[in-house]
Amino acid sequence: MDRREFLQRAAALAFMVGVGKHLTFPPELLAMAPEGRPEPILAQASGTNYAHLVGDTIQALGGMKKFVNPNEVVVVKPNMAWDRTPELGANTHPVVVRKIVELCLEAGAKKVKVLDHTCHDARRAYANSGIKAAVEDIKDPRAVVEYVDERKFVELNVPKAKSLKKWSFYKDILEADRFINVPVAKHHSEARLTMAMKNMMGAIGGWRGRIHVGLHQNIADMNLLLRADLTILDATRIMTEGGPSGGKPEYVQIKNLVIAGVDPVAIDAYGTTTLFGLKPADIGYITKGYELGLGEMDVNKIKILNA
Amino acid sequence: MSEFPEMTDETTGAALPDPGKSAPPPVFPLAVPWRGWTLGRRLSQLLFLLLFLFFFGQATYKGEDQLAWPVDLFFRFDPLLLLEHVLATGSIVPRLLLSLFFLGLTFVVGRFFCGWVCPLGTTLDGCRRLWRRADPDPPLVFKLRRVKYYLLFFLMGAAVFHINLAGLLDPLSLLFRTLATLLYPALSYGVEGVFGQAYEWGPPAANLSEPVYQVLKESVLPFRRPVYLLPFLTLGIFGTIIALERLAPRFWCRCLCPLGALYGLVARFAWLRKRPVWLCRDCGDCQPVCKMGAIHQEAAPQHQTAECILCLNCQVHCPKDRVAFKFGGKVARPGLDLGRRQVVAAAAAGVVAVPFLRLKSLAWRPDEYLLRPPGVESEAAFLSQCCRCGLCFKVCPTGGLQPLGWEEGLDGLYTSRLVPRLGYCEYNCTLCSQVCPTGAIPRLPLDVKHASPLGTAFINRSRCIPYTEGRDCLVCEEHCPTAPKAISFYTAEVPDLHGKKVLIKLPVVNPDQCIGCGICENKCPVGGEAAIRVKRSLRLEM
Repeated sequence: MDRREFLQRAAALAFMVGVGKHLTFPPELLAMAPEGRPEPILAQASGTNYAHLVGDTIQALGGMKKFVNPNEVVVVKPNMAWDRTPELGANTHPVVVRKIVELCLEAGAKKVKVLDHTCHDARRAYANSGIKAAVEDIKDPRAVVEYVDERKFVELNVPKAKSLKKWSFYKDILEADRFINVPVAKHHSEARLTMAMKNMMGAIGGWRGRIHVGLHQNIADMNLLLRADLTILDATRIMTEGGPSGGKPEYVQIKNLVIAGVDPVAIDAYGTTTLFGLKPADIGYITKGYELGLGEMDVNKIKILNA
Repeated sequence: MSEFPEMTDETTGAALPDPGKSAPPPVFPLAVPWRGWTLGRRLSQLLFLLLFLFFFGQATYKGEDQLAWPVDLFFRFDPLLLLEHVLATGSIVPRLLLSLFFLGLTFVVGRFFCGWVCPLGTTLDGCRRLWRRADPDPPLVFKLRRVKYYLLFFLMGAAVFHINLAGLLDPLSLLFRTLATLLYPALSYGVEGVFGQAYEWGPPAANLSEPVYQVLKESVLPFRRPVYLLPFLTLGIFGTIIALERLAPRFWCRCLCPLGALYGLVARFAWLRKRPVWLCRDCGDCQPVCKMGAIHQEAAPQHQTAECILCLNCQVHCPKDRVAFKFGGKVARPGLDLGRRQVVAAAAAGVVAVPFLRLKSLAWRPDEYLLRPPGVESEAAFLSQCCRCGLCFKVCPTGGLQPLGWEEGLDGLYTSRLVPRLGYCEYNCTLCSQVCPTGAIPRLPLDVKHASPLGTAFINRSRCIPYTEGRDCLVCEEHCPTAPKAISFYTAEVPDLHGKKVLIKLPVVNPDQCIGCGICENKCPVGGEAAIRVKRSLRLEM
């Protein structure tokens, strides 16, 4: 049974048992996490209970069981690259990550690994982002926060890439049954904004500084290999300047929003307009990603489910 | 023979009442000739070595901003560091005063530190087992014993003029920095290599090796693989000290160690003494078992408390069970291998050496890229305080703190510097200041550290990618940890590699914001010399 088949069956089952809200979910969702262009359907929820926001958006997309099957290995990749505390908005909010891990566990995952290839010292970033403690607090042996193991970076050719034709990628992410990307929405000096696609910088190895020469095409190219089954954008608070590392509470705006979907380009495009008031075409990697067929950048073609 | 005047009194090991005196000095039978003492001594050596290694292992970031253990504890008990610090700076570091306790204890029992505590001594004892030579000690060794005193007085003489070289020869500093910069990196490289190979092979080899590897990674292996400068010099020095064991046991401790010399000066008056004090005329079997040659026909037939490290081998090996260690006794103490002239000459040599050592630093300002650890205000003050122990190298989470080579002469050798290309100064980290035993790296609250620049970043516009190639980069700006960022950018037209003008973001440094942490230099994607480098100028320095 492949992924598509499973999703179809799961959806059919859900249809048969007639679970209220799920009866009405759009049939496009049956084509989640596809080989080609994903369907540009996003769910968003707003509120101050961040765990509920995560639950609601994923529920709107059909529930975590649609994305994670029993006995699967899941990699959850938040942005926890910086030695910054949660209120500074440089890393994904720990409550958001924790809820996602909990949902994966409820869905029957065999193992949920939380990891990021950090910019600051990994031990400091993991600890001070609050994510390590939040996930370990679940006290489920299936949920682990792992440091990146340098031996696990594998060099791969990237078919269809225009610039990043060969690079090293993290094996555990490529080999995982499911890969969930949990970026935080931030200002970024060079890229202008960082959300879903840019977060893949933490899934690659090598001399990452070099990626920044021709950054936009490189980001789009790495997303050809690094395809998340689900992306949950943490916009509970966003960094509007001084990004990506920030460091001042004044740089942070509270948005109380979580946006989820399977189309990383759509998430970035939608986030660009709603959160930052910019045009998707202003952000180089969104255009490049769209050109590579990674997703939809036309906001009018993106369907929003308000959860 | 008149050489052995008190022999009949003392050979029995018991204090005979002297009819000529009304109140004989008290002699406590504390130290019974019990063979368990050497076992106890070995256990103590092992225990202190393990404690030293434990503190070594704990000198790293463990998820908390404050270290849980006093990893510099051994150094606080080091009177040589205290003495040199007081002489060189005229001030006292309160935590080093703990060493007075050991000094006081030495007055009572002698050089117990060298025989029972010193981890370098234990290392030498251990290595000698692999390296043993049964020949008797060559006479030269007894002549060279005085060298350690010369070294001590030389160090003291130089310290009066603010050159503190104690750390170069202090056994604790020497061992710790050798462990930190050489042995531990080599060990981790080797272990990672073996397990990495098994990992490459995959199952079934990896199935066996990986669980072991994970346990090692959690316990003894470093979080990130350490790399340090000067490996060959460090290996040369340490290797020589080990190799000298072949000449005579504990050659380093007998002839070179200035801390041993300091303890020896005190131990000369130690209350606890070996009995019999004189070498027995009918035996002399304790001579070859004494690691230190403390009782030896070659030097003096009298037991020398300045040399004795209380290993108690003589007691265990005495075929006639005569040897015991007892408090008190009136037997005249042997002189040191040292005359007043030599003391004066050695100290004077230390003083005279000062201008020679300082020639370089007097002649020109320090290297423009020589960055000192965070919070260090003055180069001169730092040099007079740094004990070159290597604790800061070990604890630095990025591996940026490195031993300095010959760039600043002998005066600067093995002192701590930040090499941003190897590792930057982590913005919210204060570990180096927490471990520094002498306060050369001052303990500063985090907000004060944030305001204490190590230097200032400069962009080399003839290397920087946006300036030279007209292509995006801004990696330096992205990583700059200050808020607002010390590196900002402006947009301008620049000719690209084909001569076509393109609009590009060009980084610039605001020197007033820059704290010189070096993360920009560390992350700069330009190969070789980074296009942005931290210079020590623009710092507030007299």
